[in-house]
Amino acid sequence: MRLLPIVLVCVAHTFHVSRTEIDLYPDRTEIVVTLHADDLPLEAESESKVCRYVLDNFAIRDAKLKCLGTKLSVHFVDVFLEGPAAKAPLSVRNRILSREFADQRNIVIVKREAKPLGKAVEFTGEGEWRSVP
Amino acid sequence: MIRTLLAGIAFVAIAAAQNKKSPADKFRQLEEVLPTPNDQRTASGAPGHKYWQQRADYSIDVELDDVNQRIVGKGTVTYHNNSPDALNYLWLQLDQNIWDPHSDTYLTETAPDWKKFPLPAFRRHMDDVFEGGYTVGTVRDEQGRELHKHINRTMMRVDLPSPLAPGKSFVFSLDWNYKINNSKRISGRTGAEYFPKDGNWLYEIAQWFPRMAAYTDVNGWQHKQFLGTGEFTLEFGDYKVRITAPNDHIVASTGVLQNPNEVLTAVQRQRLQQAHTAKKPVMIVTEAEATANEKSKPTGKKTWVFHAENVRDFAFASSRKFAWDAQGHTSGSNTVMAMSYYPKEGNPLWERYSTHAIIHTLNVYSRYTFQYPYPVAISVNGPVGGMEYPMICFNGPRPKEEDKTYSARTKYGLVSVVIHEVGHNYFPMIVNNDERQWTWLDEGLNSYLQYLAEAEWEDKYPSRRGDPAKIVEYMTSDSHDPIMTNSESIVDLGGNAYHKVATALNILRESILGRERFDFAFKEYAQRWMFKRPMPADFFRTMEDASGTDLDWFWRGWFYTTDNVDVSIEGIKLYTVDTHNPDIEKPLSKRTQEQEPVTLSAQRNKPLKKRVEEFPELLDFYNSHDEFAVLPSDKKAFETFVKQFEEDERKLFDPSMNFYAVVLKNAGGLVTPVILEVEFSDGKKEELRIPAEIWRRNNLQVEKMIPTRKEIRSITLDPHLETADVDLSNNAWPRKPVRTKFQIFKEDRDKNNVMRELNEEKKTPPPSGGGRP
Ligand SMILES: [Zn+2]
Repeated sequence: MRLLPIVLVCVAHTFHVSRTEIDLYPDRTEIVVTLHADDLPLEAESESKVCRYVLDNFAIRDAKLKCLGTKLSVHFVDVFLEGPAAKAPLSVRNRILSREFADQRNIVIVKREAKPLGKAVEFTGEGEWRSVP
Repeated sequence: MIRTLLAGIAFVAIAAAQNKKSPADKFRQLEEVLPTPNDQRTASGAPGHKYWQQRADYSIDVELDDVNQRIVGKGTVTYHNNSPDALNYLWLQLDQNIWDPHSDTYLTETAPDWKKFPLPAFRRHMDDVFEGGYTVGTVRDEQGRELHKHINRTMMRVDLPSPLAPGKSFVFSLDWNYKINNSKRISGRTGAEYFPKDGNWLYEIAQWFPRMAAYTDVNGWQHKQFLGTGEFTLEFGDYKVRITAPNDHIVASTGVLQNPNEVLTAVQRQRLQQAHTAKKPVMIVTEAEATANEKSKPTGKKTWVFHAENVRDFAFASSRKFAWDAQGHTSGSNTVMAMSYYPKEGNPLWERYSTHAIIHTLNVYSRYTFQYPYPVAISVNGPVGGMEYPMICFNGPRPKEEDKTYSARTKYGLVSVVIHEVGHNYFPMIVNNDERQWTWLDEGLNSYLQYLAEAEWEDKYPSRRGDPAKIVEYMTSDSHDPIMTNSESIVDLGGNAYHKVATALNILRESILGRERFDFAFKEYAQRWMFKRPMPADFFRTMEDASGTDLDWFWRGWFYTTDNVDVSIEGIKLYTVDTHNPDIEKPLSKRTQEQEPVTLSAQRNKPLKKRVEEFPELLDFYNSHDEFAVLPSDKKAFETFVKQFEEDERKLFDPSMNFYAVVLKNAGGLVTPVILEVEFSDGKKEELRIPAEIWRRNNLQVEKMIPTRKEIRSITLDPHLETADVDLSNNAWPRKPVRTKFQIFKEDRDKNNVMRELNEEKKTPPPSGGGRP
């Protein structure tokens, strides 16, 4: 099979990437997902749609996540999720934008009370549960 | 001298730390890395007295086939050999060949993640293969004799009948054609866009003719194949181009239109005349006229003739859908026509912002470099997201098709991309760096100037690149490469060649050199290399030479490594002057001892009955002796001590002076200026700006002394977030908790909820001007 190249244009952000920070506290888990607003297959301005999209595509096994809201700062959207207390390592699924972009990379960083635990984990596949960090 | 005055014990500890050898000298000179200066490129970073570059003039006839989306061209190239070398052959670039079905671009593409092959990409791959790439006809010399040619992927060699001597020129002609890529299927720096609603095409045409490869003093013939990322390495020349298109098309192009009477209507010519001196953009073709023209059927062809002088490339755009506005702008002694071309789909954004953004760019960039030397500056809306050519650029952002509204992101996206692409006229169109090797040398410098231009567009402009705090994520990511990485090998091109460079230069300007010195040196670089071809070393050397500052440590750290800035305040120590005066020192020692904590056992043992109380005869001299009592021998010793000093030296023995030592650890690797905000117990603050050279003997840990009569309450490192420090949690003494994004969000939300309740009754006014808030 021959693959057609993605030719990069000079100014576009040349990288499809999301960044998720999972921060573990004794009584709760705080999650911030940061996305390029342009990449979303829906209106970045719509808090409810963005929340639903992220909850559909990002999950921690056995944890019911709640979307508290989003913050759009022109180019980027931050999505704020909250869940029950959890222990590392976590089982995570992250298929954000991976059906939209062949080169989508979803980076997940786990912290405990704002201090990083281990290395960032990169999700490139769709649908698999992986252990992080 | 002061050494003898300081309290001893802690001092020994520091001395040990300072003697520890750092792993490498981060301040050693770059001469082992940079090329040796020569007659072409001096050690000061300027073109040398024997600097030379080649030149190629083109005369081209090209036809745009609107029925089959093809380019058919023929032309004559006059190649001037200004090098000191005789040339046996010439190389040309056939950039369209990256879309040849057998190209290296396809062959070297690595596999996607098979488990999740995205549907749109999969559909594209299963489609008919796009038969892209050049068909090149016979190459002939001036007498019409055929010249042997050899095509090596994206390059073509033309063998000369006899060696081309230095100072001589060679004229040859050739013809070519290719299928234009439909940008819906294959997007790139050039392409055609189809509008199904009105059945028309819009073309943005670039890399459309065999261009002379560069022959340079650094690399000989540029022989790095075009793979798709490393852009272009080109020679300057004059162009005469005749573009034949359907006679209802409007053509926008590099260069000056030579035959307006043949291709423009009287009304259009009269409006253009008006635009020269207009105070705001004048419509040459209105949106209504362009929309009416969409229904036109061509009755023939028209040939638009453009001439361009001293350009390194040539591009054009063509469509019957174009609206067109123009405004004259004076840049020094040069009058420039700033013009925008866009289909109705670009409005209302384009007529409002594009031409304004062009003129704004020329104003700001010219101030930091040189006066814009070309007669036109054009921005075109079409399928290409953002791409630059001499005098013309292609920019993508448009409002939503359904309702013509647009988000702030789209609006600022358009203004930014126009600034960026028009800005590329300065780098690399005029300061002609080798993009195939070093993307950063134009993208980085251009992104830096873009940041300055955005700051002058409006307050709090949402710039994506330039602020030090914004680069932190890239600096700590796995995809972080050194800036000095070849264009084709960089993992995250945007983060590296654009963002990191723009930020590094911003830091160099604001926190290391200062604006005045930086701006002088940067302008010197631009003017030295205007219409010439600089290499990275020429930039590094010029910035040092013109600013009078050794910056090798800065280039080494920021451009050759993946270190980041992470300075930590590890602690703070207090030293006071040892006066040797027993009347001062002994009571002080006593107080110190009394302040020492009493252990738990000692506290509990206190009430126990002691044997010496029962038998007082057990008490002797040592039980009643006050070790802090001032003895005659102490006084004598002090007198002897004081005698060594002159009267004025004795005044220095001031016990109220505090010597603080701030312990700084370099955890990120990059050596950096240290900016400390010191808060004293009286609430006053002082800023201490320490050059990076503080790290020159030990780049892992240093101590900075702060002498003061006041007491320090707290110290904040990098208080203005100007150094791109990647970890703020260790930037304060005493440590302060850093608020996480999540906390900030929650606090803001709670505040907003209060606001919302207060404003419950009030209706928010509708957004004005067609924009979405
Ligand atoms: Zn660019």
